[in-house]
Amino acid sequence: MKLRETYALPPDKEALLQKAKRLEWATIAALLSIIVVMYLAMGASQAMKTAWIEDVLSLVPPVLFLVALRKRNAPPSARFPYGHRRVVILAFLGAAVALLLVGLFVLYDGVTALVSAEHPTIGTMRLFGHDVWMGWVMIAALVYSAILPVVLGRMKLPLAEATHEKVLHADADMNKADWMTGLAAIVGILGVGLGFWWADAVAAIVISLDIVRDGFKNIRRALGDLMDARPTNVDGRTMSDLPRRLRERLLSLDWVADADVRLREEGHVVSGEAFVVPTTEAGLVERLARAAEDLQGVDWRVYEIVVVPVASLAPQAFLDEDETG
Amino acid sequence: MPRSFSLTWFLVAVALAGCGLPRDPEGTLDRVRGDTLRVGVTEAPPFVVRRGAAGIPGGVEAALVQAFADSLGAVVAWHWGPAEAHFEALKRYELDLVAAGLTAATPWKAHVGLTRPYHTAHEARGRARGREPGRRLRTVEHTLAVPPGENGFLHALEGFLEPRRRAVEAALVREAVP
Repeated sequence: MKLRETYALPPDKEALLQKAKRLEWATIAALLSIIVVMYLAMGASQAMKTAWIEDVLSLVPPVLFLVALRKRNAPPSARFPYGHRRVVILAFLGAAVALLLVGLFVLYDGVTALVSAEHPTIGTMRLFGHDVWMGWVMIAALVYSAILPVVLGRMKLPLAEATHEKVLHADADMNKADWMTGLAAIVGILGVGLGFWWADAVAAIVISLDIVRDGFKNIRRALGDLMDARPTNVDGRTMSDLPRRLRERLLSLDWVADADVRLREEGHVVSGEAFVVPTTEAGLVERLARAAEDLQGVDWRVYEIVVVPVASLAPQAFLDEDETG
Repeated sequence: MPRSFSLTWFLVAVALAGCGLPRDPEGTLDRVRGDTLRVGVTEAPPFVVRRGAAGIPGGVEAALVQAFADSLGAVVAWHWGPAEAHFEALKRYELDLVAAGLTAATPWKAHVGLTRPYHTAHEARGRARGREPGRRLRTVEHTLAVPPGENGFLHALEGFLEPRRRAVEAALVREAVP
């Protein structure tokens, strides 16, 4: 079979990607330290347990991102003529399903604790010669677990936008929202301290609902990509302006009477077909080849667009670019 | 950033308000103070022993419980019975404390509150199988049980037990000498 060219990132984007890689390694290190600290402070609190599970789950996107970066650059082969770029989306779907299932599981746990009126027992521990209520230790661990991911998330978000990495974007999004998990668990534990046993279970339920919501959101994004949905921006919701810009590029050619494109995303790159209605058939083979080159120059995300001459473009359908999917 | 400022103040306010934490959801500590401490006891020498026909509890744990009740100005209502029945009563908040020579390994730990170990013993392993004792040691952590989630009461009890660890050790050595 005819193989595709191997995709290469422009040098400036490559540099940003290397920076993102280092940040993801830092994220993994930070998360591991948080997981250890949280585990040591966990005790019998359901909210702490749920927050800990969320911390463990937040390891998945950075690991996925780093693994996918290694796999996806494998060149197209006889067996995989389209290359391996979509491995990222597949992995993303797997992670999203895992997120959803674990979220539902801890949601069930929290509801059970609430319904059966389990009163969480939080005792004291000996710390530097003082009896300290474990609740304070838990709160300290939660504050620690909230700060680092928020800082890293804020650093990763602009990189994700510049390199159009959806997994990185989803990861930064989750990190950025991490302080809310910490705060929910802190409120739950303070509630228990004030004598409201149910505060712990309610906080656990709030956190698990957040995990479930993340799972659903990411499944929708991954399914959209696997279904060859129209290209979106890196947030996965707003529509990309690429189809319009590519179409305008084709329409600007003097031998083109009408033109349109049909595009899909393969991770951060975009591929598909372009259809042109030529005014003349003279030198068409050369013109088509040059048009394909032109299209590649429109945006760094354009990987491979096959330009096909047609007699008519029907049927066509358009979405507003400010529409959200 | 204004948000983090307000969060800081929120935490400071909580820390100030938090000096009285933790409190009991079911009010055990407030109810016991100056009133009655309801204690379930099960024989487990030398921690809990039954003395005389009247069944007066003795042993290390009974002495600790009596002293704890004294510190709260409460009288103790002792209830003899099997440990399982005591745990069920604890879960229903019908007892305030169980002294039954419990260890931290009790399977009931998921259902009731346990104090931090008031005494840690190192027992020789393999004695039951008639092997040479004293080679490898097994850690046994002795604890008292309280109703689930009564964190204020647990806090008070653990604070009471901590400074008495040495006295407990001495008492156990005395009891071990025939």
